[in-house]
Amino acid sequence: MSLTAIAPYAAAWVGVTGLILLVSRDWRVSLSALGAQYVGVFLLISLVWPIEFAVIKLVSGWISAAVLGMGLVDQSRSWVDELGRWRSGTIFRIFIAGFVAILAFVLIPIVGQWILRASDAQIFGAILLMGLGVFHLGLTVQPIRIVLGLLTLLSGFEIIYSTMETSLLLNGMLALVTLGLALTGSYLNAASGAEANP
Amino acid sequence: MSSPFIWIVLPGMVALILVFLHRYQVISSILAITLSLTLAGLAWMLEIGEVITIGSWAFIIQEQMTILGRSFVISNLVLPQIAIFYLSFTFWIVGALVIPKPPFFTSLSLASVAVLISALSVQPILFAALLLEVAVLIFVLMLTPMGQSVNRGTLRFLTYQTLGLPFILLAGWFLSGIELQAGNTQEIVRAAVFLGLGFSFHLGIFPLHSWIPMLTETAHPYVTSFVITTLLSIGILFPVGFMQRYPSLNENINLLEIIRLIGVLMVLVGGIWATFQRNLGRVLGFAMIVEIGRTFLAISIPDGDKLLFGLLFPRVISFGVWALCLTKLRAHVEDLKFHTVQGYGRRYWIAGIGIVAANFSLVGIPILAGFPIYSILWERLAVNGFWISLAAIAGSAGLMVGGIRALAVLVMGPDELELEEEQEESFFSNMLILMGVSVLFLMGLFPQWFLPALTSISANFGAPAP
Repeated sequence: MSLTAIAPYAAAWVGVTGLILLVSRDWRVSLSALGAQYVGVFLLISLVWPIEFAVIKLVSGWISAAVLGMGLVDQSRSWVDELGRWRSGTIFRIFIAGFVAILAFVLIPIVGQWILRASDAQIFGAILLMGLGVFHLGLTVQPIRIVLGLLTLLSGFEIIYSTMETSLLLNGMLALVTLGLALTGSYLNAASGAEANP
Repeated sequence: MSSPFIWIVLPGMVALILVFLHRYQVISSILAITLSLTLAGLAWMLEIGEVITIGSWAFIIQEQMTILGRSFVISNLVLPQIAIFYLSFTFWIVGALVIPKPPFFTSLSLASVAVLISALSVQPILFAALLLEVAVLIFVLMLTPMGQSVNRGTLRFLTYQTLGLPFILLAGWFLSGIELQAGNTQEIVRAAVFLGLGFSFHLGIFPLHSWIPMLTETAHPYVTSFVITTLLSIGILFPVGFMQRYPSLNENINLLEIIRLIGVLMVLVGGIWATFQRNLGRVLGFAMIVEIGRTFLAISIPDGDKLLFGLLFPRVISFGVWALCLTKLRAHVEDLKFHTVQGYGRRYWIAGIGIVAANFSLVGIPILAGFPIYSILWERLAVNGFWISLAAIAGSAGLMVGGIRALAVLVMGPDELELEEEQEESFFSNMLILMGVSVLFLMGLFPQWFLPALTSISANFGAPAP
């Protein structure tokens, strides 16, 4: 099976992982979803880049998830379930994700006119991730969840940007920014935790 | 040896060493002050590209350094800017000597200045956005010392700054396309929109300014002031650089008019909101918004970029003194809300004087540091449009009302405040505040000492036009 054939599934996959990040109550599930999300991002970037270069995104994404995970192992109490006891919060977030998916679908031809090299699956996956990332940012005040939202947003952007900018150094530096964000998230989590447990 | 090595790599390496010296605050501060003064002095005296002879040793400083195929260029043209940046940094570190501050403030602040200068000097300019993000991550670490809860202002700062990154990268990509196919108006508009959005997030342009008062209200006042002032002073050169590098941006759409409108909005919003604040920290935040607006107004007038460095010194000293006083006050009170600090200006009267003098300097009251440069700005704005100048003055008036309210709160309140013995004001911090206030007056009374030199510095960071 060629990479082009699996591209729509990869786009759907990143959407599902983005949704899990949005509705997850457990940090382990969230970080697993983040790791899985980078697999989809890697597949979508592989459409335009050689696999040996696209794998940089996968590795940096997984390291980011690991860094955040290591921070949360010690400070798991800093992860707060924001959804509450009732299902309304979850339903609201699923509804939002559906809305973002429709928006991403509608925007495919418009963005496709700007960025000629991007395939429909890449545009759909990228806008979906960016949209879910932005909504994630708007629905939380927890440092670690904000970093998850930012990483989701940047993942989406990296899919689109890889089709536009072929400079490996630039994309490599974007991967470094991903790692830096994860380190900052882990630090913020530890800083708050140190206050809670002096 | 190359100039980027001296003004980027060297301070970066020293910042790394200072991280390990964070337990020895005085030593690390003295090291940072010595280094930054040396770097500022070298930037003032050295000539890049000419043979320098020290005894029997002769060498030439190259203006370019290449790392992984990308160039960092610091030419003779930008050395005065570098001198000003390191001089401003020295001022912040000297002020930090006398106040309680996060343990890594000195090292991280030095690293952030080095990274921001590297962002200005990198070519192609696309990489600047990524280096800017690195500086933001350093700022976040500065704003959240270990053991303190993460405040919402810091989180919003991180969010907004990171949201700006994709827009600037996209704008850069579209602009590189414009270089290839000149005159494509649609592409130019698209690039301008992305660029505008990117820098709106980065510089806190209305209505994306909410993180500024949130930060000044909750985070360490001195660190916050350093972060925002540095981000504004160096960050504003990025949009200016883009406009100078891609003149088609201004030829096809009236970018200067849009920038002027943004400036007016920022000054008005900042001034009006400052009037109604009930927290000394938030008044400082809205004063910063007014200052961002003024900076935009300056670059919107013909040859206005020359005013940028004229605005920089009064800004740094005013915000520095203001933040120093707030930090001093904050050490004695739970927060900076008006009802909490009532009457504290009588007890800590030097801090009170500092707050009011710095506020009034940023308003543009005569005989204070801001007045000479603001009056030039208002006059030149009036030439381009009377209402714009009036709006700029109205913003300052709002800030003045905020300052008068702060003054009233600081001097009113209970007749006798119960204070513990250890809450006595320290001699050195008082001396520093008084020195800062004196400088504000001296700069206002004798603008001829500094204004001609500062307004002759070019805002172009030496980036060649395509």
